[in-house]
Amino acid sequence: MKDKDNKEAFGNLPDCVADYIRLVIKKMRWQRKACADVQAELIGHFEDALKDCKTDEEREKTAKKLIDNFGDAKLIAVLARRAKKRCRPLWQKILIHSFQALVIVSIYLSICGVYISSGKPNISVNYVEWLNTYVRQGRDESLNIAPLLKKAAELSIDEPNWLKKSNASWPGDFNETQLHEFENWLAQNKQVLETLRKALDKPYYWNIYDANKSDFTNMQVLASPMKELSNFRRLAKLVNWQIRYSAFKNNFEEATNKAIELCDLGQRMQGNGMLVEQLVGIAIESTGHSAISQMIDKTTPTTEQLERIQNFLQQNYNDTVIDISGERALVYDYIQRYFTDDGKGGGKPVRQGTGFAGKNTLQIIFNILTFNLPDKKEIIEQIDNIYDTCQQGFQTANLETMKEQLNKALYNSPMLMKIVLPAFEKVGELSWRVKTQRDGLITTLAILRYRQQTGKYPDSLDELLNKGFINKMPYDVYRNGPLTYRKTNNNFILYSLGEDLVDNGGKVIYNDKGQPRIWPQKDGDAVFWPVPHPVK
Amino acid sequence: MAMKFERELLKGIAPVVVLEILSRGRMYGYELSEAIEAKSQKILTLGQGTLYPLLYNLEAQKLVKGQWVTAPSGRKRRYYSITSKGKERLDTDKVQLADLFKALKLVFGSAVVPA
Repeated sequence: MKDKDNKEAFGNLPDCVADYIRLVIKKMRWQRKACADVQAELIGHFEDALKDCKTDEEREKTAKKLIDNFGDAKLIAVLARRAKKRCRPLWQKILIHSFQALVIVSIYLSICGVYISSGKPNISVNYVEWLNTYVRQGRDESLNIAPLLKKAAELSIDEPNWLKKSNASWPGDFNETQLHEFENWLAQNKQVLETLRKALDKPYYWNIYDANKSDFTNMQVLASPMKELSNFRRLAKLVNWQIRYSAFKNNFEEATNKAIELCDLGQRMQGNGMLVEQLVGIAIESTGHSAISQMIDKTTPTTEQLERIQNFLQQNYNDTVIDISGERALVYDYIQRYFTDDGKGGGKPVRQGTGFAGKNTLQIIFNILTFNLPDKKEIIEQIDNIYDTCQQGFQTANLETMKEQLNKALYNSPMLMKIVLPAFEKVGELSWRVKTQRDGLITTLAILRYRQQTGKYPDSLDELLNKGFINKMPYDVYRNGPLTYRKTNNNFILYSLGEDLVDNGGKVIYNDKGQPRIWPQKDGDAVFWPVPHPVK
Repeated sequence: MAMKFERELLKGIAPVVVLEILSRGRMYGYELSEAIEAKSQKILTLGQGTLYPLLYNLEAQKLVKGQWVTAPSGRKRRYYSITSKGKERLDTDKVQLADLFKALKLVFGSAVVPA
């Protein structure tokens, strides 16, 4: 039907003309309407040119001459197509060019997409298993606190709701009903405290990670420890109250033992394992310090009792440094899962691995678009450098220097590492903060002993040191020097400058609930003595 | 005397010639090619095939306007007429051509055609 219509369109024109016009239209390859217009015009042209021919022979001869005059059909088609394209309205031109640009960009992006998703990583190391070996350090399983600690944490019963909401920090603050309920709660947790006692007979703490869930990157490996850590904190709270209750009941010996155990547990959890576990260790140690402060504030311990606690804290004074080997293993695992493997230690990032391809989003996009992704070796070298710098930073007692070192590492790090590194800075600070708190407690104990032995407070910390009541000057990480000590009317004040690095004269800051902030962010100091009390 | 000019030489002249012919009245393709030959006494013969692309280009530049007209015989023809923009361009081009001829005369002497 279409062919018939097409033949009719050419009317009486010789076949050679019809073929010529068909060829032009075929080669034109353009919009149907434009082609139809050109065809109609050419047909008209040939019809006009041949109208005076008398015979078929003459028509054929003239037609051939005309075709010669018209020239190459392909060339005519190309020229006509170009000209017709130019005839399009501006909006159509913009639309078409935009679409073409979009197609080109899409194709380019698809190629980039293929580039960053092609290649297969080679998962050859089980980093969870490596971490298990690392934290265990070849010790016998019977020396590990963790299993019994987990058991104790599982058995522990949560504190009553009213106690959670209460501002009270000492059993003496409770009314009769509350005290009765409080004692019941402690009695219900008797087995827990006994299990914890047994746990602390063991010298070391290390977690056992589930090596079957060997993929660090989906965080399942850490899901179970996270839940346990939350239970540990609940356990520490229980022990904290038990210490206060024992001291309240004048059983200072038991209170001291439990307080020492709590500090001990906190210390053992530091310097080993994942960062989050070490953070919980810091918090537990801090709880222990706080419990001891409450004891010596609310009771009147003997010189021997004070000396015993001080000796424990001094002898067990362990300059534990935060260890980020667990986090390093996690990053290594990430790299092995999101970098290809060329068999020589090199490879390119694939998928999420592109987070390592630059210092920021723009650089990553640029590197992807220019097919300039970093090599695995190069990234591992960078990661090692960053972690080594951070590890060195943690050992630096000067907070400013530590932050400088960590920021240096942060500046040079790939974007993905920039998410992790600020947390390192905070952990480093917290680690030094608990050491300052420990120094504050040791010094307080020493000053109280000094007072009991001499009947007066020392004029300065130097005097305390010179007379052998302390074995080193207490260090304030926020001052990068000794803690601030002053004698007051029949008492003394001992504090750290705190986060704002400003001496606010030992001012205590309270939260909305009237609880004193141990480490206020600004306008106050971290006061160790006199022990700040909640606002009633 | 029909003459095939060098393509490049004719390239700049052809649009002016077409515009000039159309400035005298609307025409369809074949009519236009005949008119060019007649007016130039067969000296200028545009390749007939290139005439149509040339017309489409002029149309794209809005110098001419094409319109389909159905004759009483039923035959459809596309008539081209010069637009006001086309007239302006023609005036400019004519001035430039006049200057060109002047310059050519100066170069070649009184006769434009070199000896």
